[in-house]
Amino acid sequence: MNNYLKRFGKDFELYVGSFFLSITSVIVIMNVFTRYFLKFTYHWAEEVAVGAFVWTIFLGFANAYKTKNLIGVEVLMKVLPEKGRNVVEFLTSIVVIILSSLMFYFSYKYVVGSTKITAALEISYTYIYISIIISFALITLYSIYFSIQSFKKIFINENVKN
Amino acid sequence: ACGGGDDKAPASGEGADVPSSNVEKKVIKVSTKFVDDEQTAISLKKVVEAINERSGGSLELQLFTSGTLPIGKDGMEQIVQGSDWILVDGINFLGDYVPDYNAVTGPFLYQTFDEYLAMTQTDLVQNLNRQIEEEYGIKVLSLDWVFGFRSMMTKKPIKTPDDMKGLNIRVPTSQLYTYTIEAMGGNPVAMPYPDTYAAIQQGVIDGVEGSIMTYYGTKQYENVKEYSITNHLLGVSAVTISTKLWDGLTDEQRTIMTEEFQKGMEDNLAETIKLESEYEVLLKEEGVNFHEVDADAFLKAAAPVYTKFDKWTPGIYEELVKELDAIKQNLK
Amino acid sequence: MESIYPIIVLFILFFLNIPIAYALMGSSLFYFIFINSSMPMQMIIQQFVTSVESFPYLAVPFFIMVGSVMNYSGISEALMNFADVLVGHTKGGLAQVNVLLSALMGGISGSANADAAMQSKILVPEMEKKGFSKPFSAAITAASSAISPVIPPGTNLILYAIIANVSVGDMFLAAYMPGILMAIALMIAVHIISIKRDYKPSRNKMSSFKEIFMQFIKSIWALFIPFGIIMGMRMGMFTPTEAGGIAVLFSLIVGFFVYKQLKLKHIPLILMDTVKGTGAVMIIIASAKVFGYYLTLERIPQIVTESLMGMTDSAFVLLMVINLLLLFIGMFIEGGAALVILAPLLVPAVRVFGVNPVHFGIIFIVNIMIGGLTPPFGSMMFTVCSIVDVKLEDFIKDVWPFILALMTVLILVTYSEGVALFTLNLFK
Ligand code: NA
Ligand code: NA
Repeated sequence: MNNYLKRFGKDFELYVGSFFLSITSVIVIMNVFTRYFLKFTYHWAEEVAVGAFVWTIFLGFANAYKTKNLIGVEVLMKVLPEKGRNVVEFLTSIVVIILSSLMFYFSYKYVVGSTKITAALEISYTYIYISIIISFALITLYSIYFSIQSFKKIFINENVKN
Repeated sequence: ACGGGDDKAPASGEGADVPSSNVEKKVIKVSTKFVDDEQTAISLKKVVEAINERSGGSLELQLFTSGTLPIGKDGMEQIVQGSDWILVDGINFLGDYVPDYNAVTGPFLYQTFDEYLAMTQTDLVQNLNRQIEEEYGIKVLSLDWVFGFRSMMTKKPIKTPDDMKGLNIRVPTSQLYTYTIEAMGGNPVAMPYPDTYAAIQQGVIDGVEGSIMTYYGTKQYENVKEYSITNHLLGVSAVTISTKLWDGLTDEQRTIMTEEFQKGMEDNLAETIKLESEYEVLLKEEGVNFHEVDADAFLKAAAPVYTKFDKWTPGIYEELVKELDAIKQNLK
Repeated sequence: MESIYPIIVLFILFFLNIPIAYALMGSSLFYFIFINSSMPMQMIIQQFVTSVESFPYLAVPFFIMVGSVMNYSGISEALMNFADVLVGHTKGGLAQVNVLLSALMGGISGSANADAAMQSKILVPEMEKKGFSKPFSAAITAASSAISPVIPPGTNLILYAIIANVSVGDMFLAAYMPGILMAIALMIAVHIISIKRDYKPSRNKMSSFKEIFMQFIKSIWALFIPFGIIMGMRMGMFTPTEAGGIAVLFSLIVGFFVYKQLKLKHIPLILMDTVKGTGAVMIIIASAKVFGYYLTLERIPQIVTESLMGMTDSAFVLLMVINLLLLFIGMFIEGGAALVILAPLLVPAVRVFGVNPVHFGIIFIVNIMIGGLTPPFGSMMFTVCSIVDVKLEDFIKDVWPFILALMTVLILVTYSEGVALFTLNLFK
């Protein structure tokens, strides 16, 4: 049980994201079938598919940051000695903390003030855009954790598991 | 006040009325979906130049065409949230906030541009403008930038709703278009416009609906030769600005903008009418037949459309028809 | 002058190994906070999120998913066996299989790194047993992996189509030709090297027609996927996005019921892979959109166009300059990222010079794929070298003939629109 919980904690963005991705996939495939065999399409299909896609993206993004799967330019990391790499890693996390918390703050302000309604279902876009607030909140937390880790590596020289 | 003998220095430094040349320059983005060679964009370009010139440098409007900056719902949201922004886009984006705007541009109301232009001056519409300004901070500068009526281009001529029976007509994915074609008696088929040329040849659809410019530009006349002037929907843009921005402008700046956008609207209208008759001639040369329709019969047939949208005020159709009757009397 | 500060900030952040998406966000925020504050900041968020809310982009997760399904479903093996009966008997047999397999897999999936990783694990050990040197095996695996994203479907093709505002279907149809040319060029290079080094075939003799036919029947379901994608789009049956959805469904069915290797327990793994991959790709697009917004407001694309026009009035020279620039940038930056940053700047310029934007897309994508092979920082080079455990120096000694072969294709598609757009004109 504990193991399951741990795995869920590690990858929970991917679990929730998979749910949204499944919605997107089913709707798009269904759309082709209803069009060809039943000669109609649901007017909300595209909208719901795209909304779930936005959730998929921002959850996947948070997990990709957490698991260090975001693409970067690694010139410096390949040429520096280990000590230097730790310093760069620390700087990187600090920059990500700043940017993520800014993005979190601005997206919160945007979503709270957003007035848009969707074209087909005429519901508030807030239900879609909450994903971006959550994503940047998570990444802010993760980057704080990473910065503490690399800080320890530099100054305490402790062997921290990554 | 300035000691030295510089005559270029403004004379009235301490007066309450600061001349416009002393005001810090206000940069305002004007965003539209129209591409550079479409008439609305051409007229807008003139408006922007005239305003920048007349304001003596206190205003700098920058025009962004082709949707390079946010348009539609996103453009409107920029206005609601108070960006230094003017949006020129469909009236349906006002309808997201005050749904009755969609009824005002609903199907079959108008047979001429003049009828529509008179409608936007009625208390009915002016009250909508007041409502959207007070509730959402959207200041409507104009509802009158028309770019053409939409009509039917089909294999056979259409005179009455009966002629539409059994015809498969392509529509964009929009509830309003779907209901309109249904009310007219046809079967709406949603598909992307570029697919229609082949779809007509394969007999999947019997025709399309759209403006005379689209009809010519996409060479549909090679497939379908009958153009029935149903004028079922009107293509028209609204010019909107943020109330927050508007209230911060000087009286002089507001006057300049109001006057120049009015001039631009008139220019756009005159050019659009001219272009439409030019395209009519070109199409007739291609062997296209133009048909008048029984407009009253279609207006009656379209009545159910006005009850399909929960958010429209009940009875809006009757109110609009009443205003319209008065307008038609006046115009005669 | 102020207007180019964000570009400088962007490169500083790149250099600090900030993820590309964050480098783009950072330089854009810098611009909208310190240089041009006429837009409320929350409206920047609006641009950030609405940029990915687009139906055509849904093709991205679908084709990522098909690639993932392929690994669990037995489709890869079916394609490998088919490639083997076709070219296994020639000199350097397994190396030819390696190239052909990338072309066949390219018809289903679109990631060069996934292709390179998979074949490093499956094919390279086999190649070593047959007497190929390790660096050579690594080099051909990396070089041929450049084919799979070029042959449709491919994420970069979709990204380019949306950025340049051309049809995704047109980009797909056009890209078959350069993909096939890349395969042919590499096979010629393999052939020449194999004769010199006397690399042996993987099968003793040429397969009989019967053998080829039997294997074809076994592999037909896997081969049907690319065929279905082409035909479905060609006949207007579905959009590229829907083609992606159908390809997912079809590969699941083939994996479950035909090759029977796919199990229900694989489904969560496939979905989770796809979520992560989709997030990593799409976030670059969202960030590039905001950065592009800065470029538009400062009219940078117009400035680039004007200065290019000041340099030359020949499309021939322009394309050469752009190719050299892209090859240089490709040495440092991953291809997809180079695409979303540079295409918005370069496409308006080449249009002014009369270059067909679909043609330019082909040039662009072939070019950035070569960038993934070149030292010092090619991404496929790193993938293969780390899995196979080859030293970079040894890899480079063996990869340069293949880079040369691919450059020949790049020059061919650059200077002959007829070649570059051959399959587009054929199918359309
Ligand atoms: Na390969
Ligand atoms: Na591919």
